[in-house]
Amino acid sequence: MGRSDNTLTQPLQTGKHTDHYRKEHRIIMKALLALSFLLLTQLVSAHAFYFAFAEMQYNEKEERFEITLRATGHDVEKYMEVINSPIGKLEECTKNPIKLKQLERAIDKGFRLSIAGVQLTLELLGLEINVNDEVSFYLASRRVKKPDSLGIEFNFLMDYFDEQQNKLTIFEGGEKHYLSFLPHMTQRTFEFNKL
Amino acid sequence: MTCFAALTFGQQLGAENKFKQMYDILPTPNVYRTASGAPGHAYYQQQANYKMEIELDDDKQIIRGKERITYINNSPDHLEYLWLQLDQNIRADDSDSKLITVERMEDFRSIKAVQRKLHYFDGGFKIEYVKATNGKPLNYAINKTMMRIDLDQPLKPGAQISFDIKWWYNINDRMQIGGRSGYEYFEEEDNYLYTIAQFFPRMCVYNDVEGWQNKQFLGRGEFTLPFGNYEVSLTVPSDHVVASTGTLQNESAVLTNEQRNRLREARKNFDRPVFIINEKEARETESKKAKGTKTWVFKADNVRDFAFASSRKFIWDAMAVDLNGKTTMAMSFYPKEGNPLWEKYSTQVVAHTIRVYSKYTIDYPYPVAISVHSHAIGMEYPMICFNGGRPEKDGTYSERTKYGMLGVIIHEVGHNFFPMIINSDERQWSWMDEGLNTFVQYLTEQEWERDYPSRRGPAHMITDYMGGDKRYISPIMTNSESIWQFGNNAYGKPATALNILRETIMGRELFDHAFKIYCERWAFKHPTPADLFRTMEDASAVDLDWFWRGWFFTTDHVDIALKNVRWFQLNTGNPEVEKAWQKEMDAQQDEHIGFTRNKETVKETMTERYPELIDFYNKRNIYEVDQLDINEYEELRTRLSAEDLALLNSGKHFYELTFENIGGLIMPLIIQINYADGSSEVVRIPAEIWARNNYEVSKVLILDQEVESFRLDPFLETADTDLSNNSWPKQLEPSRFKLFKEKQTNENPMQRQQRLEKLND
Repeated sequence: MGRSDNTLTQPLQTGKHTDHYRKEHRIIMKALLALSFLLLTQLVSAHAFYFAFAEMQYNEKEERFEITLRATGHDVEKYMEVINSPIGKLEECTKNPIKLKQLERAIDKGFRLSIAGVQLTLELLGLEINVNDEVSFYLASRRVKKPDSLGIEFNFLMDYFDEQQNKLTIFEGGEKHYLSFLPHMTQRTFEFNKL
Repeated sequence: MTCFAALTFGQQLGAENKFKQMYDILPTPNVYRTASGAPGHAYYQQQANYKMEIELDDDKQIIRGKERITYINNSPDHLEYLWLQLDQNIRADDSDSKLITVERMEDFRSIKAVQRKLHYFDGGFKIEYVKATNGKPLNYAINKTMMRIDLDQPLKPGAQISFDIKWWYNINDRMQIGGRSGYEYFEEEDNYLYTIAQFFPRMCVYNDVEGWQNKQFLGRGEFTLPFGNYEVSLTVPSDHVVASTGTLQNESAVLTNEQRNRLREARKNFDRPVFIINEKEARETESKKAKGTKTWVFKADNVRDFAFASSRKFIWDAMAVDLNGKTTMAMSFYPKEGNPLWEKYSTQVVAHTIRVYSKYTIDYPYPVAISVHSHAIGMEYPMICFNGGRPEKDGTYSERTKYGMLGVIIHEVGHNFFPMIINSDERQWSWMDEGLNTFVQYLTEQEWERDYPSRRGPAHMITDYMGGDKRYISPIMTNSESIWQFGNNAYGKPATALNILRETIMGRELFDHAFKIYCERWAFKHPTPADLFRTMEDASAVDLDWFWRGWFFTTDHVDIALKNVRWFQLNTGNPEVEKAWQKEMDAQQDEHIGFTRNKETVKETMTERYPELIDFYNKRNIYEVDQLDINEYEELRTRLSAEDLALLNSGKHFYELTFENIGGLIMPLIIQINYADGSSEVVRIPAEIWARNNYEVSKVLILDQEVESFRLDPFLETADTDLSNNSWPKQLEPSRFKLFKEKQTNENPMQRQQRLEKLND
């Protein structure tokens, strides 16, 4: 949830609510409550994975970032229910542009790239789901020059699974670089020119 | 002073060496647990026998129970008090698990989420009395999920004590507030399916390792229980069917004649399940509610726990399984909502699981093995487990659902072996049962069907978890409550480690023997991690201290790079051969661009214009073989034996390979050699090559042919997290995105769909 999280939680934590903050809080809270009415499922889903992995590289030829994001299939399906954007089974999404768009929007909230504070648009090119219940989403940015510094926010599924922990592998300079993301640490920065 | 400095340096090296023996981190062997990993001559364990009368109130969803516990003190110690576990208290008002749950505002973002957080459930045991068998109340104190009973006189070694407890508790709605046990409510027909466990005050383990294992139940670290014998009567609605730990003692009182006949038939059928209650009959039963109750009586010997399931919705099928002449009944209980998956697979999977586990561990010793369908979870108890895997309402199911169901049944039935029989301390070490069980689960899945899509086991499947940032990864040897990434840590990584031991480090024969010895030694006992580590070495003559230290006590990962390759050939001494070879090599040298350009731009050099400037060195042909060369070679030949000469002329190729250990975790070097003629071979170098220098080693391979390429870990068996540094010449590891693109057309699925729609129009 990134910045909007902070604006929501900070006034609550300080206990020094101005009327403005209270009003804003009520509005935001109402909006959040209206988002969804389905049951959170972390307590009844005992699969013990709760991990999303992403791989990313900058394609010098096409001047874009290319990302593969993998997660547990039924986690994603439940997540889509909870955010009131049900897609049914992932298998049904691969050829359904409407459902792919739903997924693209959801991923957009959970995996974000930004350069100098400006978010890059990521397009969902496709997905694959295997019998191991592992779904891979393939994403690419628009054409963009390789930045010195890239902001990455990766809180995919963290809102709904307490134990969710994500990891990004960046292929750069012929090597792999790893960044971990946890609920208390959803934003990281990667410096391309400091390698 | 010099000696002192040398000693200090040596000690530092020893402390850092990854092959350092594990004396510093394993407990000292003693009379209870030997250095070989076997139970010692004074090993003991306590026994707790239970006689219980349980009532299930289907109207109010309440369990009421009375139990008589007989506790036998086999320890050499006097016990002033006894500790019992009150696991239901995790849902009590004062539960610590509620307080220690880390929360964020995101957890409250839906109405249901807020409702759930504010939901009040009156959970926890309501203890009505604790008294001696003569009716005298016993003093007791409850500390959250633990209850201490104070004894008037310490319980002496060899003595036993019996006492009675009466209690009740509200059963939790498992689908609303979660839990390993509870009920699922089927609103459409107003029926309940109960899966009941941790339902009675249970004795804690007292042993030589922990004393009383009374670490609080916080929700993740599971259960630590002594063995004992159970006699349990379960009073339930008269139309309920009960599946339970143990053997049914009163078939004639609770089953119809037809059901008993079918059960007799099932006991003779070793190929396919027989329905005791089929779907049609179950549908009829669940459509109406009978009045009155029935009491089902079960007995179970030498089990560490007891659980049961009860519902009027149950379909029941069963088949016999022969295990070296002993018959066990594999059975399944499931509501119609589980079909068609459950009637097709569940009981066959149960039978398959106990057969395969028996091969790798010990013969399954119990009379029944039961799989009960309970939506969305998997949980294990002796002889019975509760498993998810539910088809869609229209009866279809995805491949993922099918394999998810098969996997969870194999896993939970497998838990009969770890920890129900090989009874490790779950409260302390989740990995000892989850990890070992996941490992044998993998073996079992691979014997279910070829190329079964196992999710855990093969080495390459753990690499994403193990690589990179270590701040949020825990060593396997971490208490259950403190683990980052529970699933990968307690299930995936230890299962992978054992698989690597079996496939790569020890080999299947040595590993399987040692693993079976561990299981046989510790069946119906309480093993610790050291007992496993020591037995695997003791039974195989393979020093695995480096492996346990790296894989279980650190967060190191495997990233071994083939850093450099140098190629040499023996100098034959024969000038005809060597000078010709040198000429060929020099001709192959790349020419500097300046030389190339100068051939055109420098029209005439000084030595070309003035030939008198040319001397001996300009005219000398260094590739020419002269008489002196021939004489020197002849002299050399006279000094060498025939074998020496044969070796010199063998044409062998010498390749010096340098390896760098980047990830920190030691592994064997598995090198695939691909020759110029298209053939290949694999060289396996044991991990001990790293024994002195843990971070960089080199090896010279003497080969008959010229090599085109080398590849490290070609069969993905070491969990190497970075394959891009495993090859010579260097080969970049393709990303998943690249692989995806390679198999895609230029159009994305949305575009394809649009094209299809146009075609249809």
